[in-house]
Amino acid sequence: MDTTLPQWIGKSTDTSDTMIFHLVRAYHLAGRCVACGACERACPVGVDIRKLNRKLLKDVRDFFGYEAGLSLDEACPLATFRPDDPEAFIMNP
Amino acid sequence: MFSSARIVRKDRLEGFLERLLEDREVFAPVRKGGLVTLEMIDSVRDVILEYENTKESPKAAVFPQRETLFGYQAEKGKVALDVPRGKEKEQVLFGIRPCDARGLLLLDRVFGGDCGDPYYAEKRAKTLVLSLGCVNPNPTCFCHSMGGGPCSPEGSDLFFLDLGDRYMVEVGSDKCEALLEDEAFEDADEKSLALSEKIRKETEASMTPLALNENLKEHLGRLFDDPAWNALAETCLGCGICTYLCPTCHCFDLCDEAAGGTGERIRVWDSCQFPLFTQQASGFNPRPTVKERFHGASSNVLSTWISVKS
Repeated sequence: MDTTLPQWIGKSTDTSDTMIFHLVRAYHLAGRCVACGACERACPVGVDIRKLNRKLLKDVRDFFGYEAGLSLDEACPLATFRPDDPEAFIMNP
Repeated sequence: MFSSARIVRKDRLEGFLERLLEDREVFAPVRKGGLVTLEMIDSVRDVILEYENTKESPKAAVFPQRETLFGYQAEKGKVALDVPRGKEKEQVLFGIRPCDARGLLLLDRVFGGDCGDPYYAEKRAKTLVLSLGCVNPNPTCFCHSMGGGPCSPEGSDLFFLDLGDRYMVEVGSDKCEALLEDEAFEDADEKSLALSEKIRKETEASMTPLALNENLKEHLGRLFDDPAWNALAETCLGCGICTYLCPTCHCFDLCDEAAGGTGERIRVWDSCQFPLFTQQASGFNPRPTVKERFHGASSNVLSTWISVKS
């Protein structure tokens, strides 16, 4: 994402760039964010930063039966592979 | 020091602002989405002057978060450049706080001088700073420990201080000569002068100074590897918003927004809190984690700005 060629995300205040950044950020936090709320407390203008994260939290729990932060030993679902992982969403090319 | 001091009665301020709005862009504190922010106003009725601090500093008025340096169009082996025209109107930053006004002086040191930045200089020359002193500074405020003060006129073209039913107005530069001819201004009387001095002293005395070491720069050097930085940095999320809100942070990046041969070279705010800021081409990063970045920013801000007497 940090490459400049190609540049995936523009650096300016363009709405589409801001949107892409936040979507990417949210997806990377799926199965990792423990919903501590520190980001919202730090935000000086009161943005509901966890809006997307809450949905991802719910999906990770529903699809993988996993809640981040409950176990130190368990690897997070998006960093592991199991043969019986659900794959119905993978489409044939 | 009050040789050119004036008075504006509060019931005459609205008229003054309305006349400012006639041929200038006026930025002032307004309430927006539950926050107080500095916005360009259409109506003087939106302006609020009973506030603590605006969320953002006014630096974007002279150093926008995204600024087009030039547009370009490549066609048939030729490149046409399009350099944006400057501001048509003067802009007035009304009611900003003394800390923010002083911040602009520090930005002048970066973008001004011999190798002045033309984009900054053009906007700065057309900017009038009409600041408002703090009579109720936040308990977290520390301007007076950094060389400023809650009622300091430093960096202001006009400095307003609330005296109850009127404002004391100090003239800090000759940029406002035309404004001072406005009918709202009266000569300051002895009573107002004495009252403003009393308020200034009392407000300064009400603030708790930061327990800073006298030789801070040296001291911070000795503390470079102090484990205390670990604990301090633990609370930092590395989001970089502090550098966006700071009135003196000024680091930027240059990049192109282009499709094919047509595009713009732009300047955008950058932040020392982002890992890419110090990432080197070799792959080495001297500030690899939040701890180093937090340490770098806090000690730079403290030791550099406090040793710079603007």
